Amino acid sequence: MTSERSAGPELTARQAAALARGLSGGRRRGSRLAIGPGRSFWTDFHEVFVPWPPPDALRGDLRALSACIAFQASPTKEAVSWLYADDFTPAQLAALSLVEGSAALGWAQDTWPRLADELSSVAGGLEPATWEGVDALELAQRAVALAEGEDVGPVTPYALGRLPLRRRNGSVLGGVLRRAANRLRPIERLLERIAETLDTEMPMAGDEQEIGIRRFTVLPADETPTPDELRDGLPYPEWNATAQEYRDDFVTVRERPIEARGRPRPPRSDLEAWFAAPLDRRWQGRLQDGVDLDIDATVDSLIDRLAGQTPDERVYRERVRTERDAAFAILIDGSGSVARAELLEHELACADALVDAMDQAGERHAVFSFWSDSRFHVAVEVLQDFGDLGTQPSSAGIRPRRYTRLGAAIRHVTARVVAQPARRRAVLVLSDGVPFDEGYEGLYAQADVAKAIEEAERMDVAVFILSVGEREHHPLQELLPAELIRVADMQDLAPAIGDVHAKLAAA
Amino acid sequence: MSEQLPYYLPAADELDLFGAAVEAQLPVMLVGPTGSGKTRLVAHMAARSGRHLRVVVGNDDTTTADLLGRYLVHGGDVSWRDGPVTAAVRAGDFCYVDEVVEVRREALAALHPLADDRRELHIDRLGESVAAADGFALVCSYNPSRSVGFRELRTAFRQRFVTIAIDYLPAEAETEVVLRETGVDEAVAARLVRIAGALRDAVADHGGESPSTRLLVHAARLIGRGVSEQGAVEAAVIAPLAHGHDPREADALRQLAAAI
Repeated sequence: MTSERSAGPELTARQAAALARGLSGGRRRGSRLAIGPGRSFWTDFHEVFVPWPPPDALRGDLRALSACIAFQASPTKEAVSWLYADDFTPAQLAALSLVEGSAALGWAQDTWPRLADELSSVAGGLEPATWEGVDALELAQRAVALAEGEDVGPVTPYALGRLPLRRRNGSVLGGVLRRAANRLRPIERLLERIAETLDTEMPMAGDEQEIGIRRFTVLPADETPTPDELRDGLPYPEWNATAQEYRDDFVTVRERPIEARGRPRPPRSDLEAWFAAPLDRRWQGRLQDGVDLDIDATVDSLIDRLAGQTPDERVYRERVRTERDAAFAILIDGSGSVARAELLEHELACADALVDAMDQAGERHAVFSFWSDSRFHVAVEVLQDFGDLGTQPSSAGIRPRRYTRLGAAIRHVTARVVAQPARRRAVLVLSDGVPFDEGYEGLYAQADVAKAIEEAERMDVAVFILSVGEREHHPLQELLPAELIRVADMQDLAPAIGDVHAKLAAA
Repeated sequence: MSEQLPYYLPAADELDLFGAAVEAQLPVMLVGPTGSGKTRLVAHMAARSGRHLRVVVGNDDTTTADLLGRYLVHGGDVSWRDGPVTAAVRAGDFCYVDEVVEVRREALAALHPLADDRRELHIDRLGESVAAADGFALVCSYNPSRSVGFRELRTAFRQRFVTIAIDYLPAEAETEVVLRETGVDEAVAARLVRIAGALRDAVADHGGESPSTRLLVHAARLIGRGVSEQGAVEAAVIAPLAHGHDPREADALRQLAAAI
């Protein structure tokens, strides 16, 4: 079953998320697209990662995609995750993939019987194996036995994806030595060592128990950093997509407030039009006074008079504004060359207009700008902090400078927003969205930006990147299909921002 | 015909709790998703107590007058007509306010004295206080996933009620309900319930609607009349949940239904 137009990345991501949740009985919370040359199906137990663009054999076929997601939904993944990759030789690892895949196939065929044919088909002729009560040690034993016996080729069916294995801490050299030692070591010793590593609380396949996933540490809401800490710098991790792990304390973010410079600018009515009219106003009737008559109240009042009673005088109605429980942060890309100066001016003017609208709507907001000069110095400047009144972001007179370590800037601003007590929280990033800094470019940087946004979304903070510029293909388009909003021309920026803001406010 | 009680399968001890609350003259608040059996529960208990049931469905336009009553003008004559709450209070009936969170604040305030030990209704328009007759029970309900933002019940109101949480039944019990309501094959009922479970997981907290037990009953009824399983599930369960812009949005749900 192939559809005529194949689903784009955004639709695929949503479908994959629903499938991940449904097929795993809610154990997997959602799904994300994985891009880059090493992309594959895998899971971090929280989400199922789906390669984009999909493998040729899969293109457009939602049923086959469901089968691949079912493999990642299997509880055998939780079981196998207790093993360390560096305890095994490459041949044993390949065997482990097949062995776990067979067990996953068994689970999937038992749990979703009408998907059985498709599951076998994408698994390339793999046979299902027993899965109930199978633990990591059992899987390791099966893998070792398989590697001993047959010639296990290095290529596993794409549907099986990548195993979620841990690595022992230590140097690359240590890893090489360990694997060399493993080859010489008798199999029994390897299995003993594995058994020792696993403690009695290790979950079995079929358990509902969740494995703790490495979480990004964020400043807890009740710990506000001191001005000194902000100035000297806060450490943030960076995501290393090649190794699929974080580099802890890798980037230093320094925050500082900016004083207003220059005179306040006159308001731009052309921009304000896009952000005007706070949405939550409702008619409240039966008021002592108001702009209009409340007909029902008036009629009731007349009836009272007819019935010989004192009529109620509250016969008017008025539109009243309701407070919105929201906290929004605007993050403006202050990096780049002089060529960006005009666009930056315009972005600041839009920010001014948006800030006015948010003031009127009673939404908490803050405006930041950022630039960077290597991972040791990511500067985040506070043009207007939460709770500041009457400052105009554009009056800070910032000019574009240096480079764009976007991931760290997003992480820091997210942490600031998370500290605000509000139900709806969002970060709007005004940037062309192309990250670039020392040792930070291309797929590596793009993956870090996507990761930072993923972290924010897990903390219930919505993130949007509004990017101005004609470009056939934006590097972040596949990674962030829902979060990247592209605008061809400067003139279209204000309406796009207004649109995002309206959607956030109405949500 | 009035001997047959409306069918209700309890998940836990909610019937006992409800009965005890009514006997103790405490008002009851039922909290749960749509189509999970709240109205059926109230109907069952009203019939069991031999009381008449009056239902008001709350919405943005529900005013105090809608609940308590209003003067009506016929020709030159003005007469008072009792609202459903007043009628229930006078007659000692069950009064059920569904979607109470949608009702206007000032209208709910009129229910306050009814919901505590005073058990009386103040009707300003009549200048009258009506004490609740024996057998009167006040029941309200709402769907917690829909009450967000300023549409929340005031603490002062909520705390007057005994709150009973109603949820979709566990699989075996839900299957039993589908069987009882439709007489369809047990294997079919079990499959429908499994489909609902998978769809509920898929939709979870992601802004979609969860299929209710009621939709499963609809699907089963269609199957009982000769519609294919796939067709019945599509028409009665998936199509009502699909959003409509892009028909492919619901394809993932269809895949899940087709996997069981």
